[in-house]
Amino acid sequence: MATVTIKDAVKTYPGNVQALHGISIEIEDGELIVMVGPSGCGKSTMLRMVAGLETVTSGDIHINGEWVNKKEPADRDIAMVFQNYALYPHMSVYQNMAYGLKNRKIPKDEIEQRVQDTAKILELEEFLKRKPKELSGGQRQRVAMGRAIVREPKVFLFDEPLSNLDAKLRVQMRLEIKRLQDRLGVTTIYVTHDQVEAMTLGHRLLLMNEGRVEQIGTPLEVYEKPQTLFVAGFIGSPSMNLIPVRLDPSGNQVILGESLPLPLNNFENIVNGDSSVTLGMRPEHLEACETENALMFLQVELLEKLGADTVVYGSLDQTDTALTVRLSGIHPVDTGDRLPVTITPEHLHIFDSDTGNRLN
Amino acid sequence: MEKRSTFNNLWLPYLLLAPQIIITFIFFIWPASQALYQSFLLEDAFGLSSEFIWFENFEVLFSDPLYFDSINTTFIFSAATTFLSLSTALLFAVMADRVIRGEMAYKTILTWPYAVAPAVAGVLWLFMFSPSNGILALALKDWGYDWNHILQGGQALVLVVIAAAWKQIAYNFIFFLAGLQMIPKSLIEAAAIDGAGPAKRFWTIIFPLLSPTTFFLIVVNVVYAFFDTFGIIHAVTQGGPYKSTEILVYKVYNDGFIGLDLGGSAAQSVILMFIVISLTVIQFRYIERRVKY
Repeated sequence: MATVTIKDAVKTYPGNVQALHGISIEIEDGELIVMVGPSGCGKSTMLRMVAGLETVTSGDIHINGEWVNKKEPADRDIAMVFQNYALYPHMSVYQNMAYGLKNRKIPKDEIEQRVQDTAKILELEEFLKRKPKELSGGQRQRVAMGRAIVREPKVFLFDEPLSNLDAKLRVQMRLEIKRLQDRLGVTTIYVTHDQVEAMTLGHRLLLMNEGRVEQIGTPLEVYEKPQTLFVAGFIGSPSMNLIPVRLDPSGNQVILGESLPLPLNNFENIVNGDSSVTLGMRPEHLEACETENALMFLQVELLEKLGADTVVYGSLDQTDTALTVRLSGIHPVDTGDRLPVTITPEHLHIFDSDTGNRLN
Repeated sequence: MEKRSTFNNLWLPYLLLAPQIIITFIFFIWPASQALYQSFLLEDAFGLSSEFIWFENFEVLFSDPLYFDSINTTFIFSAATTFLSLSTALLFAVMADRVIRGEMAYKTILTWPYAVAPAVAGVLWLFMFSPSNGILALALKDWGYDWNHILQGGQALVLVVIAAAWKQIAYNFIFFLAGLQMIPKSLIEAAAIDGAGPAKRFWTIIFPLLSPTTFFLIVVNVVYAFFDTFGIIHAVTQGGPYKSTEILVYKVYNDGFIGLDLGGSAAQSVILMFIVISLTVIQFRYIERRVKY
């Protein structure tokens, strides 16, 4: 049981390549934090710095109040699950799980007991004598988790643990990880590039882009109030429609393209110098409506009928601004139609086009 | 789908295989059968006539204590050479694996000894250990150790072992380094998190994972020590002092070309041939199948 505090963590590689530009977060005891972002955003580097596999250029990392910057990975009382599982190929499943305990000079009968208990939790009992290569991908993944759990560490670190599994297994293991973390209550940092994993697993998300924190918040906060353009575009599928517009000085409408006004009226408080902003609308918040209530019209170009939803791709009437709309259920709309759509004002997101920051 | 390519032309496959078959025939099958035939012959002292004597050459050989001494020397020599060159090469490879800057230069320099001809390698060490003016021999003398491999059989054996091992280190180094770089870094990291220090990581993770490379190199090095060290021994000790460095291959040469016992020498060659064949069989059947992880 432990807290993890990261303060202004900076990582600079030789040749002055800066991978992290000051990451700060306080992780509570028992919390599951998901670090999420596109490849190369520095999330794995951050995780490896917590693990002690990368040096910290500047900033501080505390585990349970203890400054660990200069500590060896072994002395940090953490356990890590690697993307490729990193199982010791020449050892049996039992030996893989017992290795860390043996190195810590734990009595043999206690090792036996703990490995058996862990194997039971993960349903690995019948595989204990097998070598990793005799296991399926999902079983290997469970062994990797078993190796972490059996140590009873202060912090679990997961580095994209599900990305080598097929889609079905990934969903299953995702649930299993969630259940396990709930049950064990161990503070966990989980790195992924998959937003669905992030949204479903995390108590809080830490969104990263190009070595910077974009937003920290619960999955719903991140979904409902993305603080930056990057977060707005990253979370949600299909991703949010982001349309450059001009803010009318009166504050009760925005102007799309040359001269298409959208009468939107809860932006009174927005002050923006050159009044060029980006309007964000989630595809699922746009609704089809009667012609007289329409806020805008969509020229339908492409349809994805998924059964549960119908995703409509098209462009706004009289402009070439692309727009995606997700209508729930099966909707009687066809390619070439002119679809009247509307949106409730509370579902609008306004961002500064230059800084990317949220304005409303 | 047919996986093999099939030839409609009857002669084409033989034509394509011909270069390999001709080379094997001229340089292996023919001399080997000559040796086999000669091992059944007894030449007269002047080389004017020969007599077919069946297995008498072998009988003489196996009742000769000197032959067993030579076998003994060969085993000590090859075991020591293999161990010395493998352990040194492994040490270098582990060090080189950690080097970040100047890696290429380091690797290139370590590879050079392999390009040195055996006789030259032998002479190099002979000079350094020359009892009268060799730099290392004099240094040992300063330390109070009397180095004289010309008189001391044990020292002579040590010298040829060093020379033979030194030459082979480069080869082993390259294989070990490649083997080390094949081990996923995350395994080492996982072991570090699991609380294993550097030495423990080496012996419990890295060394076992290198075992296929190690076994392959043991076979290669034993074969090298058995058969490819003639030049070194010839340049350094000529098998002496008093046969203390006379390994089997050197004895074949000594008995055949110096002692002119062609039949006996051929019989020894035939025995060596069987040793090579059995080492190869071991490599293919035992090692290539068993040593996997």
